Amino acid sequence: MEDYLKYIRNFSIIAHIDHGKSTLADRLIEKAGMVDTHDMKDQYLDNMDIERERGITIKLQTTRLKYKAGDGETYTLNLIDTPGHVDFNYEVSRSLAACDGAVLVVDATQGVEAQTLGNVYLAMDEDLEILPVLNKMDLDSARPEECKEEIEDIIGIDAEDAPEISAKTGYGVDGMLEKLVRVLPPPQGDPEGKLKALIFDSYYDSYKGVVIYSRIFDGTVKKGDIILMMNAGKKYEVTEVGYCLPAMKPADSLRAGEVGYICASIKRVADARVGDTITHAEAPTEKPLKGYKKAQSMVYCGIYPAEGEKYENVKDALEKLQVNDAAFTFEPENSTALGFGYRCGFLGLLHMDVIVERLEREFDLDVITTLPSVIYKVIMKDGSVQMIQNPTNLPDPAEIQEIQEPIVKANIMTPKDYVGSIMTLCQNRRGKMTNMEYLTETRVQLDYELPLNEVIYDFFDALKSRTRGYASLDYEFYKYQKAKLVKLDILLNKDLVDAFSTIVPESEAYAKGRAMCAKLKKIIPMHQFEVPIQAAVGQKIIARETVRAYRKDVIAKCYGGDISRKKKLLEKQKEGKKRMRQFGKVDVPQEAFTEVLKFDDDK
Amino acid sequence: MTTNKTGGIYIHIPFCLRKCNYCSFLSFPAGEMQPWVERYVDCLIREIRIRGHGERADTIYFGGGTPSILSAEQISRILDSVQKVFEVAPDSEITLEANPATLDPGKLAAFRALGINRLSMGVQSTDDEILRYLGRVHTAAQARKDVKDARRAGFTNINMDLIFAVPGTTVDGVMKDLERLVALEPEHISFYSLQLVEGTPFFREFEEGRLREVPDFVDRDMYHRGCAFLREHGFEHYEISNFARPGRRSRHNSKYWSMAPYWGLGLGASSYLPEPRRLGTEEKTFSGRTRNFRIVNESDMEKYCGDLEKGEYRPAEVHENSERDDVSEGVFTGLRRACGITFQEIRELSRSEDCRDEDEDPRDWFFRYYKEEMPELMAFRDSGFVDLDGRGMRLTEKGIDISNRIMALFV
Repeated sequence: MEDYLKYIRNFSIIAHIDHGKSTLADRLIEKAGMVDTHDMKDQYLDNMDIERERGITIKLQTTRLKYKAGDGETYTLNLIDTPGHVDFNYEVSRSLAACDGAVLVVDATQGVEAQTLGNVYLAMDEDLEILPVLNKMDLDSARPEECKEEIEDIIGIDAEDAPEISAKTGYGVDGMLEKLVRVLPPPQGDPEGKLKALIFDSYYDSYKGVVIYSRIFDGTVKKGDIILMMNAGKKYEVTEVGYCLPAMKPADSLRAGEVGYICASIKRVADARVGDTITHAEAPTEKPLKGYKKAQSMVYCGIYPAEGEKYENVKDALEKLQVNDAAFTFEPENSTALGFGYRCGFLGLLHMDVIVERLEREFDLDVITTLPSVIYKVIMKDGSVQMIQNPTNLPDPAEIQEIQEPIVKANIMTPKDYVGSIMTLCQNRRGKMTNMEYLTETRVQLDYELPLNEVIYDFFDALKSRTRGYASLDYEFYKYQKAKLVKLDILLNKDLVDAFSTIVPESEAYAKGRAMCAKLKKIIPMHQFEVPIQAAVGQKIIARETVRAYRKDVIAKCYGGDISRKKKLLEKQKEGKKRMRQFGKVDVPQEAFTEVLKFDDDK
Repeated sequence: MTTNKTGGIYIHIPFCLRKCNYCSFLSFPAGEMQPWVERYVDCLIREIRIRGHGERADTIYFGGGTPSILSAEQISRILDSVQKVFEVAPDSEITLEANPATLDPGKLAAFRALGINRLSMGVQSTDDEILRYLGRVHTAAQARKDVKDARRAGFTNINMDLIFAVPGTTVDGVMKDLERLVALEPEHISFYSLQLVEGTPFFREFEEGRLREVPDFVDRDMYHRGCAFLREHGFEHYEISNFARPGRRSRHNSKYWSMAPYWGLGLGASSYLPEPRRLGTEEKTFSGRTRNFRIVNESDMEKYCGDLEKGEYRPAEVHENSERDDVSEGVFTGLRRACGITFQEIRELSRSEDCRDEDEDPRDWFFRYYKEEMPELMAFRDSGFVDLDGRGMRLTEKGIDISNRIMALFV
């Protein structure tokens, strides 16, 4: 083993949302990092505003730390960040593949949660050495002994000597670092071998092109090398390599065992896809690293320019976002209700929310998003198969042999008190329980097969509200399964509004139709005429509501003092009107398109 | 142009016998506030002295609250001070809002003698049950008597307020109300629908589900039948809620609907004044447009009086109207009038800034100014909500029902 390798540790921190991953990362950077602490924003690693606001990590950051250990040696610690949401499981697995070990942070007041477990399994799949750490020891409600037992019972790793820390106050962090260099293994690899490097993240920089974050497994890469992306089959000349401090610091080369960045004038992140293997074009390694997957959109929705917004601006923005996000896809589509727009594909609903928020914030765009939909597999009578992303495109039922919908395997962990209400929820969402297990006396794991369609709407919110936030959810695609599904249309003032069309189980069409009509009745303002809202399956009207005509909208008295106040009232009215979209003669507030399917299960 | 219009003076008297259940105006029950009344009158007079610099005015309006709660002596002192510091035209309209149960023949005669020539009576209903429900302190009989006394005292110009769409009332009930009201032979009627405003007892009841509003279509039926009835009885329907015998329109209130200047004196009162009148200087913007201000007085009694007792007048808000403010306010207040607006008068509010081409037809100017709003305005016209011609535009009676939506186009 090369000598320098002994002093490198490549590791990730894995944790459930809120268990303190980012806070711990900050503390480590403060102790061993190369940034001035006063330059630190809160939670350095989460560098998008949206991430900071939501307390989740979407884009990764990688940081090189220097730590002088008790043995007198200085270690290089490469902290490789992982995204913190089920939508980004693949990205998590690739980040973990770049590591040799992982620090498992468990909130000592909460214990092990579903997502923690999901990530632990991913880490185990990569054969990582896991160092459990108990966080939030500064809180009175910390119960370290119970948590250790949970870790041992549920995960099956020794937690006896797990460091007890408080990332917030810094308590125990030195001890943890000491333990880290002792317990986690150094990387292995041959710097003289054929280049084999893993892309675990990439982002687009307008000066350097795509910046690849990479772990070198074998060989050495330096400026001027011609590299080959083994899965994408594309070649590039390396323009720069270096370390992430996390600020980029150029270096002469990156050697086996090291983590750093590579720039090679690559124009789109899709050409340096996470999981791909980099090798030398001249002397390639034999086989790429395993585990590469193409980005797979799970959820689709239409994104349309809102009233007064330009189609071109939306297109530009989507293109810019795609340069930086290989998992996000879009193609033009056309809605009779909303005009020209795009059908966009996302990893999940969070990914969709993030993209939409970025369009609004970073690009200052006003867009309308239509109801999210999954991809349905439609088997036609003539034997052909169609994948339907947009409910509007569902073929004539007379020509359809069967429709299949995507099913996910969902794993829910919850305190036992909430099992009953979770089971009701999952039942309402057409879930099939496959397993239930008491992990400890008080914690239960529920395994379900759920239609993805039922999960993408507000399942997570419903789950959280029924369990006062205690339950956690993890899911992955399982299979396509035949289902009795129909297209539910909404008619406003007798005109079909295609952007409201949705595919629902036949057995629920009436209930959904009624609920959508009732919801729209609340959202659509009164007009000077009656507005009938109808739900239809095919030609058949299955539900109807009426927004009654507004007959009175008048300020009775308007004398001196009132003028400013009355004017404000009118201004507010005008402002509200701007956010409306007109269909025929009917004004529809833009939020209707996303709100219409959110109902409360309890009612 | 504002500067060419003679101003009006509004004087706020924020005291009542008790506060009505629907009232959102700035007013206090006089019983509890007794020690304040005299102090307030003194401060009001201080404000008048500070703010008047010999400007011309031809209307004075005592509003409230219930101004008739003051003694004739107090009203007299206020009027005297106004007449001292403003140039009040000899034929001015001087109105006093009066509520039944605060009047007697002697007081009425004294008010008349002070030069008050118009009374605005808060009759509100001719049904004692409804009056009680509204929280009014008087009966219908008292109102009738006060009207008689007022006539005897020499008041020949009387307005009566009538409220409709009170929860539980019917169209027939409102028509009966109007009949009885007209029998009292007022020169002017303010016929307006009850509005639930936050902070009032009615609003709270509404929120708690204890008050059921009259449905919109009944409300509008009351309104339209009421309007027709009043027109049949010789009243001109000259503003959304106001009706007058020929020649008896409220000159003061008309100023609000035509962007004329007015001083709002007293607690929480609002003024709309061009710069010279506000500061006593002759200042114009370089473009030649007069600078107009909307000013709102302090509405905290303690502060209002405290400042004035130190000899300081400190308004709570001073907003300089932009050109767009003036234009949009001109349109939406003007549209309250039956005659609507003329494009010419609105163009004059815009003044020089957008009047480079003096030959441009005012209608063309208006259409250009509100280019973006035109498609919707045309839709309103085509549906019969708005009348448009070469000179101007007005709301139709149908348009009044949704006037906010139409007015909102222009703000």
